[in-house]
Amino acid sequence: MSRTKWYALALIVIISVSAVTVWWLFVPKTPIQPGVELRVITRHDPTLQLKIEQAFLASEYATNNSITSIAWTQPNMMFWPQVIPTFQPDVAFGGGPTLFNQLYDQGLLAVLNSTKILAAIARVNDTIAGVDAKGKNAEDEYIWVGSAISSFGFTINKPWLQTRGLPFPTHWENLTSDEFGQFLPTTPTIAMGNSPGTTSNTRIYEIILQKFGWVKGWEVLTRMAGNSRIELGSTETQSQVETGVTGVAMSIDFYGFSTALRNPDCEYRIPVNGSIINPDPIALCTTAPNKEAGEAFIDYILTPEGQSTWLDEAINRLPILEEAFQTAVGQTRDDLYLFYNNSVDNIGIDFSDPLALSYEYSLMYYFEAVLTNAQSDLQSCWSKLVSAYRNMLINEVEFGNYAAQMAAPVTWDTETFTEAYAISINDQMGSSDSFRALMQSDWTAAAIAQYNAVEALIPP
Amino acid sequence: MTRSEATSASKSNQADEKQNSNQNEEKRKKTTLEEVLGIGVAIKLRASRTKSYFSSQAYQLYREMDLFTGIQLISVLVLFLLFLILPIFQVMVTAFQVDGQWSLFWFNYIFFEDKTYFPLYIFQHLDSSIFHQHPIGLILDVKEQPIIFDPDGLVLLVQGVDMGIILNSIYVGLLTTLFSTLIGVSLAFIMARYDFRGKTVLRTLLLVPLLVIPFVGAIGIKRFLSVDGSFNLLFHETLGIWPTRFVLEGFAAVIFVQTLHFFSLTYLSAYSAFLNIDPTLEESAENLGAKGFGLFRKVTLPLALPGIEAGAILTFILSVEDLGTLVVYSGSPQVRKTLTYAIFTNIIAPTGNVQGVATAMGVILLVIAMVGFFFIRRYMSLRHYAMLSKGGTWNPRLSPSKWFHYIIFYGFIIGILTIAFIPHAGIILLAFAAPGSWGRTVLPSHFTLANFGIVFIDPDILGSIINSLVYSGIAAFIIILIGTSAAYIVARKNIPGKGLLDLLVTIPIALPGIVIAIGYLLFFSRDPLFSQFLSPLIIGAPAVLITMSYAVRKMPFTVRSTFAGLQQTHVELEEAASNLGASRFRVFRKIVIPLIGISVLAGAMMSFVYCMSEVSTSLVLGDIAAEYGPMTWKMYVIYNSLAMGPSLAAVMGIFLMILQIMVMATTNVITKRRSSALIGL
Repeated sequence: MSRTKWYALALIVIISVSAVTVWWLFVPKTPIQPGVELRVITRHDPTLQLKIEQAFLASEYATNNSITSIAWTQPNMMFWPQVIPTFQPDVAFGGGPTLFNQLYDQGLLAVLNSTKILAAIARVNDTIAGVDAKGKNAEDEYIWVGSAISSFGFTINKPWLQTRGLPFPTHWENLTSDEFGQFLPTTPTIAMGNSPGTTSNTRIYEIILQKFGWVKGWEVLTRMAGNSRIELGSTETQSQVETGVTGVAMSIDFYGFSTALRNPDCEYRIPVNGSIINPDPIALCTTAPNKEAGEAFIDYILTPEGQSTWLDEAINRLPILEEAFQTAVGQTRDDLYLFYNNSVDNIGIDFSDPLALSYEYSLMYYFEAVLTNAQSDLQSCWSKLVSAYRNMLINEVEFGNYAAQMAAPVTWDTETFTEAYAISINDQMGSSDSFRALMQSDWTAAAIAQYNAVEALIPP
Repeated sequence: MTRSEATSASKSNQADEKQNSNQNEEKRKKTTLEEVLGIGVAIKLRASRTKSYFSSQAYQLYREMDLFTGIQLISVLVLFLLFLILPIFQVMVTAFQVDGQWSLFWFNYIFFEDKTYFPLYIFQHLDSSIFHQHPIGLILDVKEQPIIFDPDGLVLLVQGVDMGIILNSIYVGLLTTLFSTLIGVSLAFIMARYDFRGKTVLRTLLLVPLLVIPFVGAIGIKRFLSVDGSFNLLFHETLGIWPTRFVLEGFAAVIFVQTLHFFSLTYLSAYSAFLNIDPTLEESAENLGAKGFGLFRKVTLPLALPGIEAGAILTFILSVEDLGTLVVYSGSPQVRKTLTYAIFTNIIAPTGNVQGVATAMGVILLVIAMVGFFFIRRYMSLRHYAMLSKGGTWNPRLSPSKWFHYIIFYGFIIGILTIAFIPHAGIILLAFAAPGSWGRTVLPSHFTLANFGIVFIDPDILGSIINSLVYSGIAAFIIILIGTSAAYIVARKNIPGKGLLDLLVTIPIALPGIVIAIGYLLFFSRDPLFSQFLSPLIIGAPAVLITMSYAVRKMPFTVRSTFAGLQQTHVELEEAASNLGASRFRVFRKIVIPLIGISVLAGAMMSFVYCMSEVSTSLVLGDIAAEYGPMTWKMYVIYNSLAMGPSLAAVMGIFLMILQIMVMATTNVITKRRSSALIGL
C-alpha cells in the first residue's frame, strides 16, 4: 500500500474509534423517538427504574403528555447538589425527607402548586402513622410528597440465633443484652452500619436517641455496638444477616422484606414501640425543562397503579396509598399488606425530624469516632464486662453501672458531648474537614480512655 | 594489626589522600576561574557553558526528531501529563492545604494528633524504661490479641494486631511479601532446577492463582473460613477432626488471601531469574568445590536475587495498594485501619468535596509505593528486563529427581496448590449454588445455572460488564497507540530526557489506583479549563475518566512487552530501510510493526485483561454515577447488597477468569512462554 493509503486507513480507524466512543458516551442508549424525554434523578436502583419506566410509558399519563422516554441518573447522594444543575432533571425521586429538605434549602426543588399536582397530592393523607407524609416550606407550601413509606427495625436470622440458644429480639433493648455478647470477641451477634456510610442506619440511631433520650440512647447504641460487627454501609450490614454471618442486622423495612424473601430463615421485625414511618419523597426540580412531564410523572406515581409498582417481588417497598393493595398486583401481596398494616398501626415514637437534623452531622461522626474507630477497645471492655457478669463476678446492678460508665457520652478537655453541644457544632462538623478531623481525634482518644478505665475496674 | 588489615588500611589511606587531592584540584580550578577572569566574566562563561549544554541537548533532540517521532512523543507526553502528572500533583498540593492555605495540618494530624493513624506514643516512650523492657509490647496494642480462643463458643479466631493505619499497611504488605516470596522462590527453584514427571502440568497449575484477583479470591475464601463456613462445618461439626471453629479475620485473612494470589507472581519472577543464570558461573563454582546449599547460597541465589527482589517489591506495592481484599473483610475493625481502606472511606466530605485527610493519606501511600518502585528500578531496569525476557538463551541446569525428591516436591507443591485453589473452589461453588442453598451446609444443597442467567440478562449487571468491555477495549486501543510509541522512542531514539520518559511510562505500575482516582476527582473538578467538559459530575465524564485511568495505569505491560520486542529486533534492519530512502513512518510501518506486532499484541491483551479486573480506581470512580459503573464496581455493590450477591459476584469472577485464561493462553503461545509479559517485570 502507498503511504497515502496508510494515512487514509489510519485516519479511518481513528475516526471510527472516536465516533464509536462519542456515540457510546454521549448519545442516549435508548432509541431516539419523537416526543418528550423525562429526566429523573433518583436513589432507586435500576430494577425499580426499569419497572417504573415500563409501567409509566405504557400509561395514559405518559401518552397524554407525549412522554416517550425517561433518562435516569443515579449519582451518589452526596453529589446531588452538583449533579442537578448539570443534568437538569424534571423530577427528584427517592432519598428521604432530610435530603429533600436540604435540596429545597439549596434552591433545587420547586414548590408544588399547580392544580394538577395539588390534586395528586390530595390523594395522600397528610400524616401516616403520625408522621408528616408531605414536606412543606416556611410558607406552608408543598415542596415534596411521600411516594412510598419505610419503617426501621432489624432483620433476624432465626437458625443463627437458635443454634446459639439466643432469643429472638423484639425490642431495641434486647440487642444490648449480655446474652448477645456472650460469644465475643470471636462472634459478634449483630451487624450495624457505620453512621457516615448509611442514611437508613443513621435514622435508626436517631430513633434510638429520641426514644431513650440522649444519655440512655448512647448507652443503648454503645452496648449494641459492643455486640456488633460494624459495616461500611446499609447493604453490607444487611448482607451479614442474610448470609448468616450475624444473627441480627439493622434494617430499613424493604431490605428486611427482600432478605426474608430471598432467605426464608430471615425475618424483618419492627421493634415494639421503637420505630417510625418515614415517607420516601418525590418532588419537582427547579431545573425542570419539562415541568408538565414532571408533574405527569408525579401524578402517575400517586395513583394506585403507579403505587402497585412498589409491590413487585423484585422491589418489596410499601406504597404510601393503601389502594395499591386493591390492584391486580396488590391482590397477590398479602405478605406485604400484612407488613403495611403492621407498619401503619405501629405505635411510633414521638420523633422530631428537625431535632434529628439539628445534630445529624455531629451524631454521624461521633458514632464513627467512639464506636467504629474505637471498636476494638469497646469490645475488649464490653466482652470483659459481659464475661464478669455471666460468671457472677459482678451482680446486675454493678453490670448496669459499669455499662453506663462505659457508654456515657465522652468528656474531653472541658467539654462533654451533650445534645446541646452536638447541636452547637453540627454545622461546623458538616462544613469543615479540619474541625471534624480534630473533633473525631479527641472523641476517639477520650472514648478509648473511657473504655480502658472501665475495663480496669472490672474484676478479672 | 594483621598484615592484611595493615595493607587494607594503607590502601584506604592512599585512596583518601587521592580523593582529597582530587577535591583540592577541583577547588583550585574553581577558585582560579573566578580569580583569573573576575566574577562577571566567570558568570558569563558559566552561563555560556549552560547555554552550550542546552544547545547541544536541543541539537540532539532536533537531530533525533522527525515529524512522526514528534507526534509520537507529544502524544505520550500529553496523555501522561493530563491523566497522570497533573492529577497526582493536585493530590499533593491539596494534601498540603487547609481552607485554601498552605499548611502541614493534615500530616501533623496523621502523625502527631490522631493515634488511629500512627502510634506516636512509641516515640514518646523511646527513651523510657517501658520501651527498653517491652519494645514490641509497646508497638503492638497489647490489648488486642492476634489469636483469640473463646472456650464458650469453641472458636479460634486468628486476626492480627493493630499498629495504627500506616504501620498496619506496611506490615501487612511486608508479611504478604515475605510469605509470597518464600513460597514463590521455593517453587521456582524446584521447577527451574529439577526434572520430574508431571512438571509441565504443575507449571501450568502454578499460574492458576493469578487467574483470581484478590477481591474475587477473598469472596471465595471468606465463604470457606467464616464461623459457619464449609471448613468449620466439615472438620469441626461433621467430622470432629478440628477441635474448635476456626475463623480467619482481620489482617491474618488479608495476608492469607493476598499470599495465595501473589505467590504466583513471585514464583514467575524467581523462575525467570533462575532460568537466566549463566550456567557456566555455577559450573565454575562447582569446579572450585562449591556444592549443595553452599553453591545455592553463594552463587545461585545472589545471581537470581535481582529478579527475586523485583518480584518481591512488586508484590509489596500491589499488596499495599490492594483495596479488593479489604472491602470484603471490612467488617473487621482491624481491616478498616489500613491506608487504602481509610482513604476509600474518607474520600468525600459531607460537602461533596474531597477530604484533605484522604489526600494526605494518599501522599503517604504514594511515598510507600514509590520507595518500592525505585528499589525495583535499582535492581532491574528496563534494559535488564529486556535481557531477562530473552530467557531460554541458556540451557537450564536440570537435575534428575530421585524418589525422595518426588515425595518432597509433590507434597510441597500439591499442598500449596490445594490451599491456593480454595478461592477458585469457593468461587465456582458460589456461582453454581442455588439461592439459599448454601446456608449451614458444607456444600450447596442445590446447584443451578440461574445465576449465570441473571448476570447475563439483568440489564443492570450486564450493563456494567458492557461498560467494562468498552472501557477496557478503548483503553487497550489507546495503550497500543501510545505505549508502542513510548517504547519505540525509549528503545530507538537518543533524545535528551529519555530516562525520564522511560520513568514516566513505567511508573504507573507502582502508582496506587486510589490515589489516581482522587487525583481525577480533584483535578477535573477544579481545573477551570478541563472542568468544563471532564468534571466527574458531567454526564459521560466518569466513563472517560475510568477509561483513561485504565489506559494510563495498565500501559506499562504493553510498553514493556513492546520494548522487549524492540530489543530483540536488530536496529540495522531499520537503518537499512532508511538508507534505501524509506521515511520514518514507512520504516515504522514496514519494518518495526511487522517485527514487534506480536509483542505489542501480547502486551495489549494483558493490558486489556488487567483493565477488566481493575478494582481500586473502579470502586471510586464507579461510585460517582451508577450508570457508568464498571464490572468490578458492580461486583462490589451486588456482593454487599443481596443474599445471592456473592453468587452473582462469583459468576462475574468466573467470567473474568475465563477471559484471563484465554488471554494468558494466547499470550503464552505468541510470546513463547515469556512469563514477564504476565507480570510486567
